[in-house]
Amino acid sequence: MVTSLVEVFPGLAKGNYQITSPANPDYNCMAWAVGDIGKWWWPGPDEKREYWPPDILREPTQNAFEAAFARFGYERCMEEDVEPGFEKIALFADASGKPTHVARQLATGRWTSKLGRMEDIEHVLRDLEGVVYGSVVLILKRPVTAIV
Amino acid sequence: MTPIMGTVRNGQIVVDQPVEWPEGCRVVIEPAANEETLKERFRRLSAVWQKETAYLSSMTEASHHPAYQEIIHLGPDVIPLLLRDLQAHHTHWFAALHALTGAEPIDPSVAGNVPKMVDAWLCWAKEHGYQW
Repeated sequence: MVTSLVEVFPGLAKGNYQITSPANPDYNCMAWAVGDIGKWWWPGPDEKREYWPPDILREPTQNAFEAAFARFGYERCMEEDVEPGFEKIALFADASGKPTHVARQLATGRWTSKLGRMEDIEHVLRDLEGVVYGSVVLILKRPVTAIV
Repeated sequence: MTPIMGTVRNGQIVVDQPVEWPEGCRVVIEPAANEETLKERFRRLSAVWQKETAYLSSMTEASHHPAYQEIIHLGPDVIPLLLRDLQAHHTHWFAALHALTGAEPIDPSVAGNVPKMVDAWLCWAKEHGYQW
């Protein structure tokens, strides 16, 4: 059964997106955002199935994600527009504030996302907002020269 | 209106997906004409689960989906089907296999590394005599 991206994310119906990889169940959005596609990252309750840095709060909260991003040199910022010399990450959360998704900005100002077990896509940031991923709640940035 | 499939459990009908028919709509329920084989049920439930959770970033949330839980309720006979799909597609049947066998062969050092988690389960299954 094939899931249509537009069916799940109606914001993509404008057609302003590209699929940039085949579906792959081996990594998720967080792994893609932090550049570690060898693992499925998520602060879920099961430490044997989802990777999360052991010294960072393991709970699906914005604080836990912000702490994990800080490990990679990211700090909060206000603007989601592209800033030369910086990489940005956006955290999505549902209406209760629980994180649902992470996207990473490209040098062009567009964003790249791994959609769960589905494909990677290049897209306009807010086109993924909606029922499934909620809305963007946090933008973080780091200098492109940041060393992890 | 599209027919809805479901399963009788403890005298109640558990539907495979949310019913979107109009409120107050009368329904007729009767056993499916042909009994589904285990493989057919697994494929149907797996397809529902894939369609409705493929976009999720959380394995835990995906494994709480009703279709995933229904697959677990199919019982130990479904284990070879899970192993085959795990091997071929790296489908996230880790929680289901754990629920059905009680085993947890994944070493914490490979947590989140899906290919190694798959290998760990297949190795465990071979050692315990499963064929798939």
